[in-house]
Amino acid sequence: MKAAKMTISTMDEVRGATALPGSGLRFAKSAAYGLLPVVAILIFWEITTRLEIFPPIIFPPISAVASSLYDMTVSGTLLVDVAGTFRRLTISVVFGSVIGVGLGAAMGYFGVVEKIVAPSLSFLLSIPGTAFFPLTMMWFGLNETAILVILVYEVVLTTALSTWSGVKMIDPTILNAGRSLGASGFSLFYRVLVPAALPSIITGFRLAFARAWRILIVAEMLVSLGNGLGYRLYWAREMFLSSQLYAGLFVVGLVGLLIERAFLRPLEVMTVQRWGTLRELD
Amino acid sequence: MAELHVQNVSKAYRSRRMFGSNSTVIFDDLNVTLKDASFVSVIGPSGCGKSTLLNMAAGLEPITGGDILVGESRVRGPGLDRGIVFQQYALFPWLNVIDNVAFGLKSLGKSKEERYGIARRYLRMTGLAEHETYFPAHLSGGMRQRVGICRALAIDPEVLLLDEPFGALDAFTRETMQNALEEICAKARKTVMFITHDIREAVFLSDRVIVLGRAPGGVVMDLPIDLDRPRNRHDREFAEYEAILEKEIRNQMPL
Repeated sequence: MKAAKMTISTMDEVRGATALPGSGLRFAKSAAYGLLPVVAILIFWEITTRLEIFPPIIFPPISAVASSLYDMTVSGTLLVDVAGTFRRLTISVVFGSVIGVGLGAAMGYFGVVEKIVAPSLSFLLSIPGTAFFPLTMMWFGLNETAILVILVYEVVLTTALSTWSGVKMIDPTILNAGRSLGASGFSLFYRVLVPAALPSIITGFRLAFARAWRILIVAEMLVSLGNGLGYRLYWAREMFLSSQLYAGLFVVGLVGLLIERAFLRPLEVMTVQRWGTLRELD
Repeated sequence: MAELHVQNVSKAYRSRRMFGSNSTVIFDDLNVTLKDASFVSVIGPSGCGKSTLLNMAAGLEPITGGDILVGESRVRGPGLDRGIVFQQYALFPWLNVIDNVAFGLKSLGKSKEERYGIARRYLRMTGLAEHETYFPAHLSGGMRQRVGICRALAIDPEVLLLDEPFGALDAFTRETMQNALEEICAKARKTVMFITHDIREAVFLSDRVIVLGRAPGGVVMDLPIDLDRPRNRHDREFAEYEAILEKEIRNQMPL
């Protein structure tokens, strides 16, 4: 009973933070606080450019950054870059999480698989995905495959780890309930095991997105693909177009934030509300 | 409907130690028979193995020796001929009320219309008809356990196994649930094994109460309750049954 009550109160907090009537004002207030440092930096920036403290190549005027952003948007290069990056991210996260969730669930459910895979997984986890770049470049050349392989690798590791621990944390009576109601073998796997571990899987999914995002931006700088946000940043540096460099950074932040807030976070809140548990909500 | 036979069952837990192994005997030649459509409570001090007995009958716990039979067929694992109600409800949090109840019917290969039709019938019977789209996290303890009972009954099992189903509920809800369960059982006419540590609950619901002794004690008392239904918890005779059982259980308690 105690646990149930706690669940309800934490759930209310979740709702309070997302959909309480009258939360508009609160949101506006917190947004105002959050914008404070942004405004401060912009003012500082404007002053330094006006006083010409730094050469314009280091700090171009904000108006120049804004007009670069506008030009990139109108000419369509920005859309191509965002689309390219987003496509690589989606492909690798989808492929990687299918493999990762399957592997992690098998590890959590079958002791043998766990014994075989866990030590190798621990070892691989201590090698950052980016460390494999020279290798994949050698294998596949300076192309998209070299990037995707590394992203998939990182996503597999991340989702496998969270699914594995998610399956291990499942209350055994839930599995017993499933068995006693006729689920066994593969049907137990997809009707009980995976949905029961879903909150952990979603958390892993979110983490995988964040990691893949970071790696991808760097990877696009190393391999000249002709499009992509990382490619655009590096290209802007090589062309000494610092206003485009700043505009590109702004877009990287904006797209990353949008993926997180408009897609991943609602996905997590949805599962949290249904499962009635609060897990790693920041 | 069918009888449930527990024949010469023994059960020992083996725990590996650093040097050699240790085994704890829970049952040694246990024999219990539940007659067709009878309601039998199993009661005893904690550690007497009453939940182990239920899990063995459910096929969730292997037996060391002997046989458990549902009708003619031997229990080899979990099966749809036995419906189980768990103490902690064990509802599937990702499914709403009606899908929880219909879960086992899907295993039976019934169509969606059939599944929902049957599930709705049980939900109406337990007063949950208006809550079919709720998720377990949004239900009270009593409502959750009613869903648990509906889920076990929906597959139309031969035997219903309940493992301290009302143990986590408050006293008022518990009495309401006991009344509801008696009504349901009168309608459904199932063979029921009911594990409890509540003497009153056992006397109120059961045709027979079995007392298990401290492991490996087995059955130390098998008491038929000859009271008309529905029973009055404040009857003199009701109190006498309670007194008999309480005395026997006290005898089994460690000092």
